[in-house]
Amino acid sequence: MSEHKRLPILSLLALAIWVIGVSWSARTWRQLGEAQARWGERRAQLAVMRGLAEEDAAYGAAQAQARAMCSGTADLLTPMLALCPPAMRADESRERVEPLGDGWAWRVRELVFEDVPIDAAMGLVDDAERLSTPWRLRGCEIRASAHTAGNGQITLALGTLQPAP
Amino acid sequence: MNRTGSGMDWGRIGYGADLQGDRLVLCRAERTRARVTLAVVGADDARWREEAGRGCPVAACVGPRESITQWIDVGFRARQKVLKVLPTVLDIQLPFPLEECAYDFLALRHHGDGKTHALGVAARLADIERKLARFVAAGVDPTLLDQEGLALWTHSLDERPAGDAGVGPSVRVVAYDGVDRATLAIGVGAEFRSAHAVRLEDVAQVCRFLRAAVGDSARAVTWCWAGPGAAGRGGIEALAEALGPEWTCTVHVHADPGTFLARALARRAVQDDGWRCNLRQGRLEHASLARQRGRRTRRAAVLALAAGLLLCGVNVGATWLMRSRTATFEQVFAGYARSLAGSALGAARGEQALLICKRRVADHRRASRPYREYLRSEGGRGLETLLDVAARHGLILEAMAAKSDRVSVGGRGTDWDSAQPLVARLQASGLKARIEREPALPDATVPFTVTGEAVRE
Repeated sequence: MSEHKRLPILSLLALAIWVIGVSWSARTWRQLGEAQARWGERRAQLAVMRGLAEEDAAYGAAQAQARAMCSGTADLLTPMLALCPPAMRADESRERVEPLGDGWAWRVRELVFEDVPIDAAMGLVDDAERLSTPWRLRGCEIRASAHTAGNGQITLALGTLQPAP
Repeated sequence: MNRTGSGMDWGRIGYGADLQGDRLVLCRAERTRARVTLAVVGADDARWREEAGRGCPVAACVGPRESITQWIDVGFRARQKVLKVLPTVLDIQLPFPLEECAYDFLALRHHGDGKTHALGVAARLADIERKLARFVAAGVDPTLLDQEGLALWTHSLDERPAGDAGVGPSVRVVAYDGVDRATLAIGVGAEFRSAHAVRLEDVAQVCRFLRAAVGDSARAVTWCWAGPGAAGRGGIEALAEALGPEWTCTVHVHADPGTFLARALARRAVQDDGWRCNLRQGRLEHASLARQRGRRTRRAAVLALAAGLLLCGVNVGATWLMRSRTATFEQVFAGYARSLAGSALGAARGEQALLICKRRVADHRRASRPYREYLRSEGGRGLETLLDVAARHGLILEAMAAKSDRVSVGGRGTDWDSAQPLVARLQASGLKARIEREPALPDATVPFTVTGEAVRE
């Protein structure tokens, strides 16, 4: 093909490719704007999702830690109560199990003391919380004694976690 | 016929050729930035043939006898519109059809009244062919065909600018006294008015052209002489004397007047002064100019092609990067969503997936609450602290009840605000605390009940 026939074809081709390039660039520019808005939205969603994941991991860790602490089979509370001085012997003792619905349950021991020093009862709670499988104070009712200062009728509910029976 | 305006870059080195009878006068011009160096060369110099062969332009000219220069006014300002209308107006003013001519329009200027002023230059193709044939017979094939009057005018201004000391009045006539012709280029200040072929001995004709160009009011004229005839000053003196009664003449002879036109053409070939033109157009266009134009078109096409391909490449890359970045976002997001919601996620994406994950985490929060309570229990320490606070502030506690989410303390205080520290303590533990009081008893103590409740998650 001669030069004077080739040149117009080359020019047309170049023009066509240049026009395609420019119009494609305009389209890409527009798409980039849209993508940036979308990325901003995704970034915000991702930040929320990361927060949720961290929160969820913390819940999982707390659950695992609590279960690890309570996985021991030894029930140390009963021997500890047996060793308490006579003044601290419970007048009434009841036990109940509150299932958590996921194969675990609260095991709650309710102890009723008729007229004991309140400080001693608090000391008992401290001791129970320091056991290798700690017992936690789930509930407490204190009614001050009308006769002896510092004494009172005390109901303690101590609980620990254990696999549901 | 095609029209080629000025504004083209024809080259950095060029030649001007003036045919004086059978004698060829050549001048070489070389442009270095804005400076043009001129050197007269012999017609038998091998260098000019070698440089012309390499594509350096050789400029010749058509005289006023074979061409016309005509100022035209059109009532538009838009350049494209003006350029469309000008040929029609020129056609009306020409004594022969425009289709038989090569033409150009120069010095387009806008007037305050909304009109555009342009100088039309035209020559019949037949005259151009005859002129070219004369040059070819003399051994040179001109690349460009300029207009003699314009070349004389602009080069005279270049060598002796308007307003220079000694130039005198603003009306200038550049007179070319050639071997076989004489030409006048007339203008005022720096503006070209008209060009004419004359017989210098015909004083009446010269006066007529002067009056037509500058009017009757001007009477002082600077004559700038050039051409081989200007070397012997006899003719100049005679004309000045003949014009004497009517015109006050100041005479100046350009340096080396015999090569003046060749110098003018050479300079205009390498430097666009806004007044240059090329009447060798269309089918008469020189092959080297056509090749040069072809090269420029090819270069522009290749550049456009390269730019287009580069843009396409950049777009492919940018699109890929955008998709890749979006996919990365989606992937990370989906990873979190799957780990949180598992199979409950289904096909949900975006906000929907986030909602499902929030629900799942809320479920987990509820389910893990007993475990978290177990771990963070203040238990007995909390109660002991409350008892300590009560003792420190002289409160008499009568009853106290505590559960995992509720604490209440009842008793009596020494004054209305004495139980407030208990409220502060419960609030410090994260409970929502409130106090209820009753009217003071006869012993001046105030019964109170402080209640703290856990804030719902």
